[in-house]
Amino acid sequence: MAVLIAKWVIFVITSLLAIVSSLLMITRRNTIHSALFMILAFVASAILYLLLGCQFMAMIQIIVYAGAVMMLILFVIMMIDLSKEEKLKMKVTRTKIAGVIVSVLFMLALILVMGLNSVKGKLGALSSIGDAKTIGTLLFTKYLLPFEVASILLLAAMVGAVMLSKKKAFGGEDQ
Amino acid sequence: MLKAYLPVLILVLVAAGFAAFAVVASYLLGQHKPTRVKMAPYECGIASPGYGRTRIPLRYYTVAMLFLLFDLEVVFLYPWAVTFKKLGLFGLVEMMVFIGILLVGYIYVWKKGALEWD
Repeated sequence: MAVLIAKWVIFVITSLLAIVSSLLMITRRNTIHSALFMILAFVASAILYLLLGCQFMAMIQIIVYAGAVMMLILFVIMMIDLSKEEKLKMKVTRTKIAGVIVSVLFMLALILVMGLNSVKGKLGALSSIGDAKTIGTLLFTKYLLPFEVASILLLAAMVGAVMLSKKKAFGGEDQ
Repeated sequence: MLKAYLPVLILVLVAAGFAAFAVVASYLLGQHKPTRVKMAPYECGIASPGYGRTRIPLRYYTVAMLFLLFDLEVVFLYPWAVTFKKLGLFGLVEMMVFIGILLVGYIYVWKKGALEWD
């Protein structure tokens, strides 16, 4: 019982943290602040994964998203000049109103399609395969081919990254 | 299973508490006499010229992209390391093939000069 209550308290705190930090992330004018709140949102969702029993997902969320993807986003922020945009006042334009309407409709559609019952969710199948050991055993036996194919996918991404950013190596002008 | 994460939770709470304590205590106990020089961002003693948010070259992004790809390689190494003993030699060969394919990519990146700075 005490464990259940503790779990519930942690769930409420982390989900509130995730929601609040996501809202702060999209409303901050300073992009670096947005990025920091994004890390907080990622970490909060990692804890939520942990509560669902998906330990491996939680680790990946921290290593890949809060680590590497975040760094990529920071470099994008540093690459573009946002000093003008940061000084702009909030403006309500027709495009923004249309965007809000469309996203509310999309959310309603999602809720309708998934059905309100399934939103409650059940903790079952996932919690037994969530840890790294089970995933490792499955990945290196049953799903061996997808695993090896993943390395080719990463190779292709590597070639693409070099191709796009190092034009000089391909006879073009470097930037 | 979640009980195993109790030390992590305690560590997080202690770390957050210590950081909050340090900031709040210095705010409450310290004196506040801000001057322009004191409030300036300090790096290493030399007055910083210009705006701090200048645009940086694309090269940094290339390195970041490559880092992300090798980071994803580590993601696969993690469940492998956990199940290493159980998989035995078979697992080792599998991972060597995986790393071998990525090594080709690494050599390609190296030869194309994506790791060079000029």
